[in-house]
Amino acid sequence: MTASSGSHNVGINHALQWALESPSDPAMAAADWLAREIAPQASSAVELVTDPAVDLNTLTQAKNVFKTLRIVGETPADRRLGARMYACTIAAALVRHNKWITRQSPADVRRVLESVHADDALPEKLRLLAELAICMPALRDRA
Amino acid sequence: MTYGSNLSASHTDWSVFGRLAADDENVAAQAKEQLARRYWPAIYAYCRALGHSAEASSDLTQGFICDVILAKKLLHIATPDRGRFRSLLLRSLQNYLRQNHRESRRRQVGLQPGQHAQDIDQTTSAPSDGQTPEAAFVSQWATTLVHQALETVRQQCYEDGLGEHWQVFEARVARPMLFGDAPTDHEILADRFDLESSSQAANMAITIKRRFVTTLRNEIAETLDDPHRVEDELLELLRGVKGQ
Repeated sequence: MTASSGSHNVGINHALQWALESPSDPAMAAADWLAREIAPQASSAVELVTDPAVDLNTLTQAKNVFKTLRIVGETPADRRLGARMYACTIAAALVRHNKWITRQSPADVRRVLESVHADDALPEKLRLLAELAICMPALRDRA
Repeated sequence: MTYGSNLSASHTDWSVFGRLAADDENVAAQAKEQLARRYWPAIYAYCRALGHSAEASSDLTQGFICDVILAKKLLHIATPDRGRFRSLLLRSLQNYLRQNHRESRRRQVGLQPGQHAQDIDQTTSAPSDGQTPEAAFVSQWATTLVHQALETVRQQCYEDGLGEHWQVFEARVARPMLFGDAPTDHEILADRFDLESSSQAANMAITIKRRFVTTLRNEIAETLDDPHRVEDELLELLRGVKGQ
């Protein structure tokens, strides 16, 4: 079994790129890779969740992988980020498509989104998405 | 499926090199084998990119490994404060090939040892595949590191009871990366390994991907005098793989 040198080099290139992008925030790197697992064109998990063009089916898949990360993530940071990205995909479906894509209670989701909104270490786009969702009728007054 | 030679836990290039001088013959022999396996592909790729035939490249590679690496000639200069091991190896290879070429030409034209042959001191012909020899060396060096990291992670996964995780990673990430295979669908993997959901397959792949990346960074750090310069080395390797 062999690979053409072109495709092989591309693959080695990818491996080096992964190694370059992972150390600053390993949990976010894992979330980004997960996002690309379900949407190979996605540049990052945050882009996937905040991009208005992403369809509901992709958001549902994203919700499922982040939900699993929330449970089986290797580190506490993974699980915490998994919980937040999970809530943000639910928020994205609500804000962009007006759909509630989980059996989680709105109060639970709202609580996580409030923590996202309050965390200024998170990307502004994500915090804005959380804020928008919190203002939606489905989550308003659910504290 | 395995991906590279089986190096022991202590496989720092510098430390393996140091073990060549070990009193224990077994330790020294193991170190020799490890070094030969590790560097053969990059040295061979460099010779091929110089325009040598496959047979000549194989001979030159074997000659360099025996005459320079295993004969411990590099030991005199290979100390951890000498910078990147990769650069040292490449410089030594270039010197070796230059000297080899001089001696070969001297034999051809009947020059005696001690006579000068500067006018025939050329080791290169046209690079093959449009890739410079240096780029071919760096590209193959990176490939060897990646394969080495994959093999280390594969073994660790099985030791840690994560064999299924490894197989999911292999189907989703490793094979597409190395061979251009289409990634196996999460649903198929979930069925194959009786997982709760396709999301679990995605997470399993990512778990091992992170192990792989950490291992690759460690592999690279071990070839550097300053392990904090991994980013610099990664950027250089990326340029090399892209042929820049």
